[in-house]
Amino acid sequence: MATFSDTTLKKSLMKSKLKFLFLLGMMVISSCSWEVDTAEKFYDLFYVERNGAQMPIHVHGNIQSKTFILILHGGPGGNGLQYRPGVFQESLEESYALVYIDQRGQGMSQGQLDEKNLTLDEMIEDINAIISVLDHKYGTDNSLFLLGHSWGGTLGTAFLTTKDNQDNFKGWIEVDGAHDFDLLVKSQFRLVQKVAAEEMAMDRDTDFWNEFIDKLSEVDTFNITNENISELNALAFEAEGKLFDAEIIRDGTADYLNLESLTKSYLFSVNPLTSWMTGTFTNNYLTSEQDLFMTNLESELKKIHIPSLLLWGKYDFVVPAELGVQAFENIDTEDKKLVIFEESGHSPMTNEAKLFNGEVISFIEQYK
Amino acid sequence: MKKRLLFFFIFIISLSLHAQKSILSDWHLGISYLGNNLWNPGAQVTGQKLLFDRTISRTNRRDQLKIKHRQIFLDANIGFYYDNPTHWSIFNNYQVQYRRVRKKGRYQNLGIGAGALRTLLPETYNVANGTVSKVKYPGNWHFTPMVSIGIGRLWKRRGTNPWRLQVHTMILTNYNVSFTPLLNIEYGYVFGYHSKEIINEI
Repeated sequence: MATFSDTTLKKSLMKSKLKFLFLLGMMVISSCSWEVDTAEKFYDLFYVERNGAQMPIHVHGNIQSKTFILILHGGPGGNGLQYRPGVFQESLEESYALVYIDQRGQGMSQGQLDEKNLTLDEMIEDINAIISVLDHKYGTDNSLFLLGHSWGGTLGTAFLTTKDNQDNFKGWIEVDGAHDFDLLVKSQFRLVQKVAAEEMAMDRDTDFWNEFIDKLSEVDTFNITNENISELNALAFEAEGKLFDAEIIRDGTADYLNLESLTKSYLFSVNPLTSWMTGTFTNNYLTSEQDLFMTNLESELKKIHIPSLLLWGKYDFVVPAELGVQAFENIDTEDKKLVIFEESGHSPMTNEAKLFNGEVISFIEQYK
Repeated sequence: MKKRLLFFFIFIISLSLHAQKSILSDWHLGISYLGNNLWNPGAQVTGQKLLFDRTISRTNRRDQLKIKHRQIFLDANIGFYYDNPTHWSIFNNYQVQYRRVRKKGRYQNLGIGAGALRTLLPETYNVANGTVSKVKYPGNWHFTPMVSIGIGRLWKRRGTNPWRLQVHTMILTNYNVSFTPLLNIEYGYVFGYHSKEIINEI
């Protein structure tokens, strides 16, 4: 018969074992891969190291298609995989290989950066380096497409209009891209005035719209500061939220965004604290030290001669659709198309995901 | 990568054996699960040495003797975590811990320290002048100041395990343009506590 002290000891040991098993289980669950590789669900991760930065590159999707879409994220300060949950994962990855890039100093990129190697020029060269590694790993007979969203539109436009970089790509997809900050603020003013008048006529959020108009009126359009852009950006996202509540902007996330999709594609692939901190520091640095918000690439647009698809949300207060019209009018090719999504804000790939993917697939099938 | 991990585990095991032997000479071994930014799994081995122990005796209103301890420890830690899927990290750091031991061996502690962390990256390609080459042992070194706060319980009697739960922040310096903090949670045991002797008084 067990004595009292033996029983206590056994209970205690059992508790310890359970705790140990629980912790072991946590380790196994959080470190295991959530997806099984098949021909259509290929996954590869590698880093590209160049001039002080090491950038993670996630390749997901159908690698046998020989068609790669390189995704330039927004921000600056975002990360590549933030585009993955649902939207690209469910539809585009079935047909193509998607290359999710964390730009230097952002996402899960590592390295040691300073004023010499954290510049737009370095980021342009990074894209060339990534292409070299893709060629090295997967061969040179692939069709490459470049997709840039928001800040990724600025970087993509700058890349394509530098040297003969665009010759590497079969097509350019710009989504709500900020390639001209001067026009961006002016068009924000026009869009806000128009939408504010409509909303105030409906007696919705009058105080907010008045505040937005007042802020825009204070901006000296001949001397736009980084602070102006930051403040306006915050108000633009808030405005989008108001239209979302009023059901003018569509909630497309219900179709695909669920816990399974998030955990499979994002939550256990990106360290949110590290990504957010490093992105914030890089954003502050680029905007304050590099005058990023002074970028104006209007005169460069005519250098783009590859097929281009321009996708914009009608209610994008962050980068209004006037920039899409400007790009459409200036890009020097007949193979171009501008699509303005009627129920979208700054991210049509989430607001109207099915329509968005349809446009992307039809463009790639035409030019790959 | 596999070879490096193997060497690392051999290193940890040898350190553990060394620390167990050292229990006799006032060093105590601890082992913990480490959750980097909560869910990235890892582990940590701790060698702990008591540097200072002040006993405070007080009699309460019911004439009962209450004894508390104020202790200062040195913690030497070595560990790793896996930031799925982008990289592994290994680290070594030293902390000075202030500990208030109270009734039934329960304690709170606060510590500051510093150390080094090395990230281990997966397959990495260097591109220079258009030439692609594979990088051997890719990763970065970071100096890591840190602070920690925790609670725990000392060994009291047979069948009661000493445990500790700590939250600590490591600051990875020279990380991209500035630094980045890591928020780690740590839960584990410290074996062969010297406090076993002093705890009998409490």
